[in-house]
This record gives sequence, structure tokens and C-alpha cells, in this order.
Amino acid sequence: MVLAGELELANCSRVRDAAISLLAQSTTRIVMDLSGLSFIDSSGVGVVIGTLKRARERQGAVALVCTDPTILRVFEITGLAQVLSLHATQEEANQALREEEPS
Amino acid sequence: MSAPPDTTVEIRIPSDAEYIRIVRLALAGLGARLKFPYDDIEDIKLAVSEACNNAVLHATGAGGVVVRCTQTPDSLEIEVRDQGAGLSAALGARPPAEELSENGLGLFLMQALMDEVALEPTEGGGTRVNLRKRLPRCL
Repeated sequence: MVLAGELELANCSRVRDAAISLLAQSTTRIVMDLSGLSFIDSSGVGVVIGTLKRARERQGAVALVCTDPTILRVFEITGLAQVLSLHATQEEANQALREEEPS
Repeated sequence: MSAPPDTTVEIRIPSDAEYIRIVRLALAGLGARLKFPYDDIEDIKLAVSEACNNAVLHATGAGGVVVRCTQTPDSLEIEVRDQGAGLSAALGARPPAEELSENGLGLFLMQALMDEVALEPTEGGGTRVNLRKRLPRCL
């Protein structure tokens, strides 16, 4: 999933629905590319958390691409930087998902 | 002695999340005018967005959301007022990250990003959130 612009209360349900729909298609490993985001609020953070929870329920995983310091700071303040798989590029995020794959 | 000049900026938006970005745009302009550093402006934009989110989510009728920004000698004070059912006054701690809570981060973020946060009920049954950020020269 590639997201751009502002992820906020006004549009977070569309992103949540898209993630749920991806997971319903037997996809359990998702890269959420947030590198085009300029703003995220707690509703947007909630979508990221919800996607991660739903993926984990299906033995899946989520890796995030995020380089914007403002958005990274939100993950740090909320303590989520410790539990999210954060990466600088899509390649790194894909690699992380491959490494997590159950053998 | 003459009264200090009025520097209040007030924005009223409908109780609709689509309008909250307009508040952020205005705050970016006001923050730059007051010479807040970039990070502080981002903090203010996010904290006020969270207050507006709460106002929109808990709104019970017409009246909209009013964001009133006042410059004091040492701070920017921002009041976000709604006609809603009222927020939980519990300014709680951060939910544990391991619990991966999808909700409840808004109040925590406001507290983490601003120098002072206070919530109180208004006379009309709504909620008033007062946020304060010290001006850069007063740090």
C-alpha cells in the first residue's frame, strides 16, 4: 500500500477498508509505504496499528516505509517505534518481511 | 496606558473532519508568523488536530468547532471549543505500546506535544480544550 498526503480522521476509514480488503484476499504480509505522507494523526496511527493487529491475527506481518522525521517522531512519542517494523525503503521493508516469513 | 493590540485569531469550522486540515493550514501560518521553529509548528498542528478530532467525534449537534488562538507575552494559547457530549476528563498515560491500542492516543499526544493541556466542560454542554505552547524566545 502506498500512501501519500495527510493520513487523518477525514480519510483514515478509506485506508482501513483498503487494508482490510487486502487482508481478506489472503494477503497477510503487507508493506505500508508512508514515505509520501506529510502528516499523520492518532486516527492514522490507529489504522497502522489496526492493520498490524489484523495481519498478526492471520500469522502475517506489516513492514512500514517511513523517512519523514515528523511522522517518525509521532511513532516515537507513542512508543510504537519499538513495536513497528520501520524501514527507509520499500526494498528494506520487503526484505524484512521475507526474513520474518515462517520457514 | 493603552491596551495591548488584539492578536486573536479565531476560526470556526463545521463539525466535519474534512475541515480540520484548514485549521492546520491556518496554524502553520500563525506559527510561522510567531517564529516558532518547524518542529514546534508541527507539534501545534498535530495537537490542535487531535483536539478538533475529539470535538468532531463527540459532536452532538450544530455549533461547529471554534479554534481561538491568543498570543500572550510568553505563549501561544489555543482554545478548541465544541458543543459535543464532552470528553473523558481523564488525561491518561500513554497506552502500553504492546497493547497496540487503535484508539485513545489523541489526549496523550496533546499532552506530549504541548506545554500545557487542560480540558473542561463548557456551559452549553460541550468541551473546551486549552493548549499552550511557549513562544520560542521564552524558552
